[in-house]
Amino acid sequence: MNDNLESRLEDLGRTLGTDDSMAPRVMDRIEKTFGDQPIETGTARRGFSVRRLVMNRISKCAAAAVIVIGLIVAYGTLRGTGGVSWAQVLQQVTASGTVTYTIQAIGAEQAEDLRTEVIQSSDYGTRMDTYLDGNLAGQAFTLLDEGVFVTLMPWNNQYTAVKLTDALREEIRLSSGDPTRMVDAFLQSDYAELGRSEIDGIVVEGLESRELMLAPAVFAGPIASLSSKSGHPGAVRAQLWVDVATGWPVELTLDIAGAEENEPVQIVLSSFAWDVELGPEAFPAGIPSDYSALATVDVAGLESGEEIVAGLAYFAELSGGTYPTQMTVRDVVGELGAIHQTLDAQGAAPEFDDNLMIKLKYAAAQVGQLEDQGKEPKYYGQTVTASDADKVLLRWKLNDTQYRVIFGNLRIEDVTSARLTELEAQ
Amino acid sequence: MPVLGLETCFLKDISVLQSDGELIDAVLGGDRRAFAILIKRYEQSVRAVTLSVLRDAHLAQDAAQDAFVKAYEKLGALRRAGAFGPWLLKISRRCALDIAGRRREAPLPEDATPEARSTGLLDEEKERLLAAVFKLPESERQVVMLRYFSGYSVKEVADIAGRSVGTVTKQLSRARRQLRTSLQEVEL
Repeated sequence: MNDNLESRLEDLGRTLGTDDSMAPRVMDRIEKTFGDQPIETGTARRGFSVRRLVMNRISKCAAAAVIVIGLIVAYGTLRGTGGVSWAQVLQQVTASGTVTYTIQAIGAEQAEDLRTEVIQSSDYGTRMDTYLDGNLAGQAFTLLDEGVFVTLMPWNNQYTAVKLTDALREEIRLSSGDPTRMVDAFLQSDYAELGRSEIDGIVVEGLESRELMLAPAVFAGPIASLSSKSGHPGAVRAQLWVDVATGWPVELTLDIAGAEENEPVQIVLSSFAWDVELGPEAFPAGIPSDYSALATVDVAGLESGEEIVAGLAYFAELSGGTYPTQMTVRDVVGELGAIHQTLDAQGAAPEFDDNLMIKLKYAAAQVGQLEDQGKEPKYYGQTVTASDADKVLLRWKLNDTQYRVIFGNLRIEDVTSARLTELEAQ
Repeated sequence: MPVLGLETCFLKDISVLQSDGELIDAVLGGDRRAFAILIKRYEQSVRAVTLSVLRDAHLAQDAAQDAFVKAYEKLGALRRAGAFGPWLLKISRRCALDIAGRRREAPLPEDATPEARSTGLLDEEKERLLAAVFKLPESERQVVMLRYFSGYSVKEVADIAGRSVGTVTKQLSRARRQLRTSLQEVEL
């Protein structure tokens, strides 16, 4: 577009101007204020050079398309269950980019072999095949042109489709398949250096963090979805090992301690092949014609709150007017399972609406996303019910002055910070 | 330390191969001269922030100095070197707000109209453009400021920010698209 935007920006920069006296003046003040006193360094920042190692030595993968959403959806684990295992959480994650790798979940009491093969390409999208004891249990992939993430359930020839926003697609293209994301996540946490070791004959250098976890449902893939482990009840020890010679990440492990109803599990991302050649034949061309839709979710609706309302309304319908006490995938699944069991004991168990159940799970995942994005979500499901028309059930920040609020009667309203303070004081 | 002997006009040229992270490591290692390079690198961006809050070129200059001194003092607490740019701009805004508070003059909200935010330095069109830049996400705002305000090439911006050239190119492209949208909305 020939609107001279660039020259206007440059002109603005010139008007803002430079001041050759700025640096000397500031340095003079620093000299006078601090003398020879060294800068105090925190415990988190150390001289570790893995990030630079990665930045300098690798040619980054091509920009990638990434989607993350779970095969927890595909497996339909809600039916009568009391919780979600972390193996299932792992299955919620797919990623794309010019990289291939393997994800393996190893549970202390887990008899089956659960493994997911991931391939990513910026040109063709994502493919994630999950195998249970060597048999294909599910497949998830993106259709880049259509902006849809699809999960196939081979056992019943059904699929779920998640429609992405343009902004999300663009963000995915920019953020995924970038190995530095993994390193950045560690460096933003309170990490420790592990020194050198060896993996399969490769000399590696490692980092360890107790603050990171794979997000339960994110849109940036495992290698970009490491973030704060807020919301996870158990201790997590994450380790990242990078090839000293090449700078490429070699292995990522997450040791997750048992907590509440979850058994301990180790998740290992390994067998990385970065910057590989991948042709179109490696990716599905579309949804098989003999598959029918189980559920569809619109990310724009999640972001606006409408899909969240749909999921919460369904929960309230089943529960008789209450909402989930916590908006995490794990809690929502557990509470729905408990409701089902109660109703079943009364001989009144309804036929679940898969579409709405899946919307509810995505809604819970969306709240986690808002947390990771720093949008200050706050959920009051423990105290607010469907009859509390004017009480805040869920809210999150839109910008510096406005919040979006879902009230107890599930209407959506945008309010100022001041108004929110009044509402939450009720 | 002999910082004042540096020829600041050459700082930009000698710094292009060093990322923010490398410069920060040097500063934390005791080489304060590296901080002067960071000052030169972000001078215009910081002034843009302080000016947008204070609407007074002289006060904005004072706030910018305060921001750099504060950033130096707190540098050891910065966990991720790659976040230096956005972190510095947040400090800059806080320093500008402090000065505004001391003057007992409440700053205008970020969504104030361009007319209301007159700086006395920028004309109406530039005010609008600057306001649109401040609406960009942090990472895009940083590359736009480095590219257009500080005059670095795309490759240099990538080196500074610790991102790939491809990522910076895409961020700039997306930022320009968003700027056009913002400006059209204002003009409508």
